[in-house]
Amino acid sequence: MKEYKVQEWTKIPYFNHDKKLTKTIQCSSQSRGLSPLAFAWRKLRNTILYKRAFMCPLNGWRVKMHRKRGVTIGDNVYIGMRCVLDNAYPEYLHIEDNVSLAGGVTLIAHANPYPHFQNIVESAAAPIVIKTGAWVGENATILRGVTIGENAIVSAGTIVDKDVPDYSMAKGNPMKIVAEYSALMDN
Amino acid sequence: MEEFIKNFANQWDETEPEVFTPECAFHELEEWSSLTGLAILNMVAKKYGVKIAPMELKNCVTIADLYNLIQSKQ
Repeated sequence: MKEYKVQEWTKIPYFNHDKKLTKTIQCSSQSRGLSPLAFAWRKLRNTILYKRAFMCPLNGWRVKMHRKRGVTIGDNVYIGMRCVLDNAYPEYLHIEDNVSLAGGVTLIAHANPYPHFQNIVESAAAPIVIKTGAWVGENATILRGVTIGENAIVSAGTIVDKDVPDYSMAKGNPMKIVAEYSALMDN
Repeated sequence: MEEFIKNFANQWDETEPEVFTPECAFHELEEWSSLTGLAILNMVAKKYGVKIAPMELKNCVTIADLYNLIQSKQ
């Protein structure tokens, strides 16, 4: 896989979502450092691609569409149907080679709470890195700032809110590391 | 054999260590699950340098069977 630059934690400034559409586009584009027109075009294109990829029956097409949206995706990657790869910040998702995401997996690279929560949760986007050979089970949810290690397994339905080490299995809610199998892998 | 049973028993959290004898049919224990199996396979690969396929572990009935399998592969 080509070298890629992992995005850094970025604060999301607050704005009133209830105002006119033009105001929303202006504020959103400012926080991403884009011109309003470029942002509006990108948002429209990404939403169409995301909706197409959501129900597309061919894996090759799904992967291509997610790449077009700005997600970093390596070779030989499987992305199941009904996967939600963050529509607001797709550039914060990094998926390396030989990764398998089963159906219905959700990757959310940001949290944007209202300002009265500012002392509790930081409003920011953070990268999600899924390293070579990892396997994520059906309907797992991966939250911002998480790194899933090489050849790690995330069990179905797990909510991943902290890092998963290499060669280990994460399971349950709240998530626990239940097994380690580095000795069993051929390497 | 005794050392192997000790290592084997360390992979279980709730079952008493006295339960583990060479004749113990470990698949029938209440705590048995595929995760325990994975932990045992990893322990065998780490300590004895033998890789056992999950199917081979399934075919072993007692701990003695597993011990003999490891011996034959070493």
